[in-house]
Amino acid sequence: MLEDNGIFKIDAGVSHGELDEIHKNIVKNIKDINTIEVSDNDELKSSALFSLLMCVKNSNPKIKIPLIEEQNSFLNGLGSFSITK
Amino acid sequence: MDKKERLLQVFIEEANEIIEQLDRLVMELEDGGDSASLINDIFRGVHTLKGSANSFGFSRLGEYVHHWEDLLGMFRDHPEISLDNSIDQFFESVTVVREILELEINKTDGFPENYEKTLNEIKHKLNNTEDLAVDKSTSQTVEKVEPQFDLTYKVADLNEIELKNFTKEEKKNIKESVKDGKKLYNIVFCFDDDLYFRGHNHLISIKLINDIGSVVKSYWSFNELDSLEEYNNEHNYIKDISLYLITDLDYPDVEEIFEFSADEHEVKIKLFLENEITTILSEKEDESNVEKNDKSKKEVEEVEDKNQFKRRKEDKLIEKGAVRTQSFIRIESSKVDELFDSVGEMVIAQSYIENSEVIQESDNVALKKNINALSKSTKRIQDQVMSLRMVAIKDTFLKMKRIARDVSKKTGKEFEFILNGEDTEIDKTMVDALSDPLIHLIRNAIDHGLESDEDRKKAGKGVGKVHLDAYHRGDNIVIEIKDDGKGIDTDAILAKAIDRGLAHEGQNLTESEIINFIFNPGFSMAKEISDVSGRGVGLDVVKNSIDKLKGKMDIKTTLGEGSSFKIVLPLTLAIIDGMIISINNETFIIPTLTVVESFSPDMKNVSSVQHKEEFIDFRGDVLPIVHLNRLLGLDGEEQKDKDSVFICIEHERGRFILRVDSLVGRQQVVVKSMGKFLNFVKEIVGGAILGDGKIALILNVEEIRVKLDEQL
Repeated sequence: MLEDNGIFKIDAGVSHGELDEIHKNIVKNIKDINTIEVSDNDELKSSALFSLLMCVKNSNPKIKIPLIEEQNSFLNGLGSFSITK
Repeated sequence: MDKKERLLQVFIEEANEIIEQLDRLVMELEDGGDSASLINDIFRGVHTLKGSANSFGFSRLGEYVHHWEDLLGMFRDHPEISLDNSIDQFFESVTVVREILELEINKTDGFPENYEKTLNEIKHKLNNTEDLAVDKSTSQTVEKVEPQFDLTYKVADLNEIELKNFTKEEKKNIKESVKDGKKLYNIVFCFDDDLYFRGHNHLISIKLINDIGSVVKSYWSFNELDSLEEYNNEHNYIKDISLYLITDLDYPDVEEIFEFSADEHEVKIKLFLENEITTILSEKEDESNVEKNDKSKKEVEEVEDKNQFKRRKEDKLIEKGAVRTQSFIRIESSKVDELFDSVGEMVIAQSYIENSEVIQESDNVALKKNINALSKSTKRIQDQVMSLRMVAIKDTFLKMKRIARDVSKKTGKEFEFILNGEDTEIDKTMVDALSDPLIHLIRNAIDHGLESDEDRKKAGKGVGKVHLDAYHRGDNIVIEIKDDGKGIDTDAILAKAIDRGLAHEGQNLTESEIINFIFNPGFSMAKEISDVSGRGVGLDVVKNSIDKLKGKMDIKTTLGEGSSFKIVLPLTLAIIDGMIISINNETFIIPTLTVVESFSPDMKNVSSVQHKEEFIDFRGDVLPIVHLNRLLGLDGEEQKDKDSVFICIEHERGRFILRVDSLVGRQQVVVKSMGKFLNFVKEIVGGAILGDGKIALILNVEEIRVKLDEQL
């Protein structure tokens, strides 16, 4: 969900089936998004969310995506998290 | 329960959900839904079952779904091949899978009846379809990739680089763990592009790892990503994941855990020897590392620049949109029950405060305002907690659609099966218990209710209709099964009842009382016993099941026009709407669902037999009177008849009157169990705490009627 301050929020518990809708909304609103936040109130359900976020970052590096950029405690189960390209 | 048992429980629950979903998907396929998408979904479900079945050693299930998956894969890859002749086989396969799962769970030997037949059909179809696919497709060839499971002990250079890049804290963690006897593993998963099509999710592997130890670090490597517009969620871009795991487990145990993945993707497991760890980690974080980090930064900047260049022009679509996502948490139903119970206590406590004399007589406006606000909040919390137990009846209805389809095939009758109110919500415990009664009633409606196609034509009727409806009526939920068939011949039922000694010639019975004979055990009007119904087993079971749910059944029938079976259920089993009554200064609760009406008796209409049993002429019906104080053995003097209140109770064996001293009121009450030590008191079904804090017992009208029949 895109908020007025340019933060696009996604539930961590989003299922794979819901990602299409999220993808479309990101594409539609890409101009207005400055940050994509993944809420930490649920456990991650779909790994495809990572790929989508990576794709967003790859296409629009200025968009902040803390989940994949920061050593986030939310990803505890993964230890510390790094991405190689 | 150990870890394996817990995992098994999760698997069983998920497998059952998948099987129900498969049923629905195949039905949608039959109804002309989007075949490509539905085949994909069915494929995913079957694939998930396969992976899990094999990991639990369910070989019969594993083998079956493996072949079925192959066939589905063939259909998925070759949409040009017609599915028309496969729908029935898909339905049969769902049934077989459901049956095998039950055998596997119960550790019972043998195979379901249609296991071999359907498996051979699948194999046969697979071979023929493969030929067809090869013939039809000039560009596509079917290539089977054998699963790989590559285990290696060799230390890869990559491991060293990755390990060296660990932070000081991570290195310290590893060293201390190894000193404590734990082991360090590097586990690398290599994934292929169509992983999502096979129902896999990388996080499954991650969760599995988290169960056996702690992950120090992970490296995720992505394949070349498409542009954002061309990005495809169904395509897997994650090429591999390299994880560093600390665990107590030895190598063979870790290997065993990932055996199930062999069919999915390549897994490399490396155990680090203690001296290797010491060598790699003892090296000082030298300048080369710093250089490396600088280099990485530079690379990132280069990528950013590249992306700046790649970035497309301003998007014309600037419309702001919102994504509504839903997430779910799986909670044990017992925990919800406990929460519900606690909220029930809170409601009672709140009600006690609100109704206390101190508050009632207080002229403190602010206090009363706060109490009022508390009351509203408590009610809202109660409603919210109650909604946690509520689920849509949709899944059960769709299951019935499958039953109707099967019965249609078996009986050869064509009819429309119409569902209404699938979104009606009902207590989860009731949904589970409703399935069997509904199956019985739907089978009966089709097998006995509907005429044969030929007879309908003769009677000038069109295609038969069977309705399954759900709706709210007051504080109840009604589920109605209705057919436009031949109706129930009440004369024939009465004759059969007399024949079986359940009624006698000349007995004055209402239509409802006559119809209720069909709920007697072994009572069947079917002239022939069929595979579907007619053995006299079922309707008594249906009645018992509905009784257990504190519901009641209402049957209406018109000869030649059809029948309707209404199941009236309370919204929840945990709260009932109660009529509060008083007898000999004791307070009791009668579930209002059973109450027809209450009235002050005109003693002229009351008569007795030998000064014992009393009856009342209630609008032309002679109804027996139960003196509750006598039945329950209550102390104290009995109130005079003219001052008492009569309550007419509806019961399948006929209405009767409860004689009480007075009506106190009507209230929703939270039902509390009487506990096992008081289970022998059959006339009482439970207890409840009233708003004033007093305890009232809830009467079991079923048992009171039984006692009455014994006396008469």
